Amino acid sequence: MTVSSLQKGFRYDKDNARLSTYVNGTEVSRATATQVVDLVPTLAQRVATIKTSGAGYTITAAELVGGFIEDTSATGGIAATLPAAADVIALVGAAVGTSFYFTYANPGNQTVTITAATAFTIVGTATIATLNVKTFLCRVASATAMVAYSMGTSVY
Amino acid sequence: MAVSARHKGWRYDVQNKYLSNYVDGTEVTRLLTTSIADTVAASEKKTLTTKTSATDYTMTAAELLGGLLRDTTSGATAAKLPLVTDLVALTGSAAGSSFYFTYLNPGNSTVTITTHTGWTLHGTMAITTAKAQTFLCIIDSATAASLYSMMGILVQ
Repeated sequence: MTVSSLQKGFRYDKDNARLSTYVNGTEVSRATATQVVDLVPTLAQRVATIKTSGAGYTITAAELVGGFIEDTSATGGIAATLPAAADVIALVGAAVGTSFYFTYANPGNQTVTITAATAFTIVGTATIATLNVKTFLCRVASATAMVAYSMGTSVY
Repeated sequence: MAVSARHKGWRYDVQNKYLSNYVDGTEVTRLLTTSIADTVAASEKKTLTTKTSATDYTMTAAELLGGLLRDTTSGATAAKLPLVTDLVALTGSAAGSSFYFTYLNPGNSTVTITTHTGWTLHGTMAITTAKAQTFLCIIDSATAASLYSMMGILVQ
């Protein structure tokens, strides 16, 4: 399929049943009814949240979706409670399977424990010892429920 | 909302305020004012860069953005980040734009990611032999970016 170097926006490839997005003649994304493929490197908007309170707190939905929290607190164990699933779903939409990664870094002198919230469960170990970092895969399980899967811990 | 099995391209859901992209009647991407979600399986382009020089080097912005760098060298190496301004020039990134970058070190050496103009580094930057370390890069402004150490695992 010949494409002009000026092509911008959608172009449908009838033979292969795929909808492509072009920028100045370059195909940058390709979608079929089963998958979306980005053909150039992709960047996503993320917000790093820095915590210093030294006390337990509830992570907001925006902080969770932001993707990264670093907690430099230095006094005692801390419980970081997940936001309610409904608050997260309001931000990311309710399509089952929608997912994002969330990472918690702990350079502080304490153990942080991620704790469950309303309709938001955790699968796997949720403690992050001092000087460790842990990533969770957060997934919309239903229109009203979410699950955070622990993806393992490593040194920060 | 009934959608034709032949529908391709955008469709706006007035009730839920979603702008969705369809391929042959299947919703493949959903955009809200707060998030973008692929509603089918999604993948993105990664470009592998292989280093064998056994000497210090500066990673290019394109290599970093490519997302995957593998270093098989056998002496301690410093891998310097590219200038933040080069990265911003390449991506046209807005503040908050981010991507993941993974450094694979199957070589017989410790590789240390070192800073360059505009960077702030968080966490451990040394990647010991037989380890893979993932970093989160967040563009903070047109001239500043942060690098956060994420998961480090054994290279199999």
